[in-house]
Parts: sequence; structure tokens; C-alpha cells
Amino acid sequence: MNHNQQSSDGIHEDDAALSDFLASLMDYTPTIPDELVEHYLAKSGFQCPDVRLIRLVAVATQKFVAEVATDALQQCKARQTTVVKDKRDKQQKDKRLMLTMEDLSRALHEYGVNVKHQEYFADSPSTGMDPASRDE
Amino acid sequence: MKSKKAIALTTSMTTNKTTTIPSEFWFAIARTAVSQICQSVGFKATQLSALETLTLVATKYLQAIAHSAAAFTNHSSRIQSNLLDLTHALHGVVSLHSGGFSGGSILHKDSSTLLLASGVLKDLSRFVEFHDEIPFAKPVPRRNNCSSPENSIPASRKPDHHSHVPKWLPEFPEGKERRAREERLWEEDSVIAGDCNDEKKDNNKGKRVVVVKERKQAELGVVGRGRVRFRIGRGVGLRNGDKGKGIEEDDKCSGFKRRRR
Repeated sequence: MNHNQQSSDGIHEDDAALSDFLASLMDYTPTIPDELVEHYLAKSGFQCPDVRLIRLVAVATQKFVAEVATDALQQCKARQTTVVKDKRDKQQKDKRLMLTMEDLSRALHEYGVNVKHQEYFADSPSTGMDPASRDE
Repeated sequence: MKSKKAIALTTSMTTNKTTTIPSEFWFAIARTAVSQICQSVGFKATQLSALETLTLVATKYLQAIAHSAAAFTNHSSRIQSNLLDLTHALHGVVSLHSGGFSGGSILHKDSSTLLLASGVLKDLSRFVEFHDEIPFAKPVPRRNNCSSPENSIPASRKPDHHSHVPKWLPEFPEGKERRAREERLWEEDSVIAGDCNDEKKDNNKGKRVVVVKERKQAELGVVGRGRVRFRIGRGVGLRNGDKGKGIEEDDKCSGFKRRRR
């Protein structure tokens, strides 16, 4: 009997927390604009007039991007630390925090997204060939 | 070398161009939003390729949630998605990239507590609570304002009109078109519609009022007589009518003239 009362109290607390969260989404403005989310949702067949659900999707996407970016930032900082240990003179140049493809691919790899950038970009068929063979 | 490749976040925010192709436009908007998120995390600059890759992943992530939620909705024989469908979709997507979430083991213990015990929703709630609000830089036009090829929703649809009909269906024909094809309402029948047209064309206001009144009386059967023509200010002009009624109508005309003066 007491156990049931405790569980019902917990349910009521969770219910109130969920209601508060949904109500707070009305006042919260995500970085990803509603119009953009509506566009991609409609493109995928998702139809809902409730702006709270649209913002919930926006918040979920924003959270995912922020997590990936934070991981990439950690990768960037870790890489810079090793670089600074090796070459002290380049400390000032590499101090700038820049999102690179290398850090991003490492961060995305943890989320199951395999990203590989091209090793080089061949702008002509002769690019990368041996200069001696190119002359022939 | 890297500094040449790098593009400052602030610069990339200002260079989003509103192209005529909607998909590029929306991708540019998404790129700006993602660059804002990266800036809030702590990045000072980014490679353009990295930013575009992250934007692409973000849009794919959003579409994956939407696809999954729409699938849950259709599986339940519904059109409009609700919070339960979205929560199911979030659980699936989050468990894919994070390998699980808190509360996942008790999620399907009792269906009534599915939403309440969701660790994903609690994480999002914490995210909203503890993260600063960074709104988008500029207002974005609504989707219906752009004529995209995949947008089959008519732009002129009224929001509250036939709300039970899904948006992807073509709009119902307007009342005038439907009536022109099938039937005419009594109000638009030839007599009164003709009166309305006469009213628009006739510049003489006094004559118009009298003729309309006379025709209405004739229609209702109050006065049984033939066609009568009136001329204001020139006395009585009769055709196919008896004299007494003509004089009566003339009195009305002169009375009207007096009122107008």
C-alpha cells in the first residue's frame, strides 16, 4: 500500500516535470530556427502543428551538434597540447581553436558516423604523378 | 597555410546567401545555425569543409528523427504526430549514436510511464535548463513563402479551414468555382444577379433605386403590371402600363428627388 503511494507520487513528480519542460519550450528559442526544422520535418513526412514538438526536435538536434562540437574541441585541444610539447615556437599559431576535418572526423567516429576527407584533390589528371614521367 | 583555409565563424555567418534554390537556402540557414553552435562551444574558426560536413550530419540527424517519428505515427494509423511518436523516435536515434540512454531498461515496463521515465527527455530538459539561449541571428522566412519543388502544399491554404484534411492534399475548390460547375445558389439566380450587375453599371443612383424596388415588388407579386420605364425630372414616361400606376410611380420619383435635394 505504501509502496503504491510512493510510486504514484513519483509518477506525479515526473508528470509535473514533463509538463514544465514542455511549457518551457514555448519560451525557449533554440539556435536552429523553427522554420528550418519545419522544412526538414515536412520533407520527411512529419506533420504536427504543435510548436513545442518542433522545438523539441530542434533542441535534440542542437544538443547532438553541441556534443559533437564539444568532442571535436577536446580533440583539438588534445592535439594542440601534443604539438606544443613538440614545437614550442608554434605555440602562438596553433593556439587558435579551429574546427578541422581531422578533429571532426574523430569526434563523429564516436557517434557512429565515419567521415573521411580526401587525401588530396586532383584538379588535373597529371596531379600527383612523378615529374619525370609527366614530362614524357 | 591553415589560416588561409580557415574561415572565421563570424564571416561565415554573414556570407549565407539567399539563393533561389530552396534546398541550398535551407542548407545555408542550417550552416549558420551550426556555426553559431560551434561558436558557443568555444571554437574561434572553422574549416569550410568541416562546417559543411557537420551541417550535413545535423540535417541528416534531424531528418532521421522526423522519418522515425512519422513511421511511428503512420504505424498507429494517424496523420499528425504527437509527443509519444517523437519520444519513440528520439529513443531510437539516441540509442543508435550513444549506445543507450538512462532509463532505457525500465522504458517498456509500463506503457503509462513511457514518457515520464524517458532519460532522453530528461537529458533534453537539462540541456534546455542549463544552456544559454542563443537565438538565430536573423528572422527566417516561412516555408510557404518559398516555392520549392518538393513543397506540394498550396500556399494560399487557410490555416483553420478544413483542419482535419491533411496538408499534403490539394486544396478544395473555392465556392464560386464549385457553384459554377454544379449548381447556383438562390441568391445568385439570374434576376437578383442581374440586378446586381445593373447596379454596378448604372451611374444614375436615383433611377437605380427605383428600378430595383420596382423589380423586387414585381418579383414578389405585389404589383402585377408590365414593364415600366421612368425618367427622372422629365415627368412621366410610360410603356405598356396604365396611367394610374405610372402616376403613382412618378410620385415616388419626385419624392425621391425631393429627398435628394
